[in-house]
Amino acid sequence: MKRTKIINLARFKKTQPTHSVAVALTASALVSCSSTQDVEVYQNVADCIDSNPMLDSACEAAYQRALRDAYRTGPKYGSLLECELEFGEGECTDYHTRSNQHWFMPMMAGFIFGRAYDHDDHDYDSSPLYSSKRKYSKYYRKWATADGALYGKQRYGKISLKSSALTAKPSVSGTVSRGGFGSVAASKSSSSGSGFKGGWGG
Amino acid sequence: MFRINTPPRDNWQKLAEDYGFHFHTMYGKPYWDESAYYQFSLKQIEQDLEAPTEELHQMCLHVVDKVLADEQLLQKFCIPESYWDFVASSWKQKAPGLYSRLDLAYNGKGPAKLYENNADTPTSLYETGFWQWLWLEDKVNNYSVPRTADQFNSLQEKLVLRFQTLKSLRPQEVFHIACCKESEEDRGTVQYLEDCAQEAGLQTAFVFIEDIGKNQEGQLTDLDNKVITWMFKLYPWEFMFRESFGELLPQGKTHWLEPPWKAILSNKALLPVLWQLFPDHPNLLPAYFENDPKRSELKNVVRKPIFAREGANIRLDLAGVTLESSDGPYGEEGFIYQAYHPLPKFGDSYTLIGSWLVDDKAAGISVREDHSRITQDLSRYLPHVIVG
Repeated sequence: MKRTKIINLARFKKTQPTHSVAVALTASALVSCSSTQDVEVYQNVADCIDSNPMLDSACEAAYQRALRDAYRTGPKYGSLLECELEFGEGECTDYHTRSNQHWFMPMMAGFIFGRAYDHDDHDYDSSPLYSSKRKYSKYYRKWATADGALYGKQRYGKISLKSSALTAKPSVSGTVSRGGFGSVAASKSSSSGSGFKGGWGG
Repeated sequence: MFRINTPPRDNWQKLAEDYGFHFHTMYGKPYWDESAYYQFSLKQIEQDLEAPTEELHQMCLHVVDKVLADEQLLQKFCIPESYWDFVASSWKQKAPGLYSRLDLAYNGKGPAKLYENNADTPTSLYETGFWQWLWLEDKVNNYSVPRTADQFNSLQEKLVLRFQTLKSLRPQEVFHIACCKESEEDRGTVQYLEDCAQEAGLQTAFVFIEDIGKNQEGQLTDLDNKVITWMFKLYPWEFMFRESFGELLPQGKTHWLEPPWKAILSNKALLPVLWQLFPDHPNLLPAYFENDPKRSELKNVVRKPIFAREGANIRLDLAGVTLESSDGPYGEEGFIYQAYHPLPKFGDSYTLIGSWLVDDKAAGISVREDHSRITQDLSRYLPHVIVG
């Protein structure tokens, strides 16, 4: 016999045996990988309130939450130079953790203010956004989330973003920085426009 | 070798859903195509594909030896000098590899010809090792292929065994698995590898390439800040060598699958060196570097970038006239030139054989079809059988 003799099929099944559950899983998987969400992006609380005069406390709360998330999940560098090389001169600030570690972080350039459809409370979704002023950075005039993922041109107001922008980002503590791999793939998919869409396997 | 039409299984799309095979249709076009299959004889498989695959692999390993001892060649392979020791020491230490896929032009008779060696980041693994295996089970059970039909496909069995061997080298260690974001195909491929690794009893963890971090000691970390000590990456070495965390690699303690020496095998510069070392070998096509005057002897020639994936940036010239070319983001490192040897045509499709190895053992084949002479990432995948 020239083929695999036996395969433990259960190991390779990806859905639950009951039909209804399988459908539910498929539906949510589709939403999470391809959907976009209309959100608002503001530079500060005042801009948020200007556009949403009835929502001043929601603006304030979303901003504060984004700021807290920025400290917890944002990119962290061991030196000011490293941070400024990525985000531009004067765009970074230093930060001490409670365990007395010392990092440099880019300042939050904006925050997402989004209507939360999926939870019951009247909170608004929020998330910190970063952008670079340095021309040679991949974040130059683009929006990036704390994990370094790019979300198109840097602009404020009502925009449409992939939903992944709003998912919770992991804390960065023991890790000094992320995103040191993947840049060649990113530049190759953007430089070739619509012509190239494959993966990086072959 | 025949192409035989057959009705698709009624429930195959539901099965694909159940098994998480989401990329059977890509960008609105069918990728998995079971409206036909290819039939080979056992002799064709064993003499023309299996044995030459193992021999070609050994010849390729000779090239690694030669290149690592020759600075000029290392330059031609566009391996940055700061990684020469990194690549060479992985070879000296016999760092184990996992799998490869040789792309072969074969029409059922005569020697198969090597197009290239995908030794670093081969895909269509799941479709081969699992999905076409399942197809044959179903087709035999519903009597639409002969009950004696077999398939050249021990890929999954060999992968699981290989993982068991690797586990014995790194017991108790978490095996990290990584690919890039935004590609369902790559994500599906590494999920399959993770399933095979778990089948072999390994403890696994997944992280996207872009999410890999470094800690203060310069070690690579996952999203839980756990140090990555052992990792499979479906991401080309030549990219990693040019990225900012690349500088951590030479001092790093991470054990890599595929190992760094695969950067030489997966490189198109392999082809001219193979031809130089084994001239006129029946399974090789003449191939030359850009600056080799002999390349003018090639009348019909395929120009391939030193680094490329998925059939991108290939150009086919017949008697000086470009017949076909594919676009893509590669080519800045230069090109090699390989004699044109046409793919066989079945109906209106050109057919390419992928011949798989796990470690150094031939492990099965995959069949891809395209209306173009250049097989690319969206070329259709068809199952095969062995009869007689």
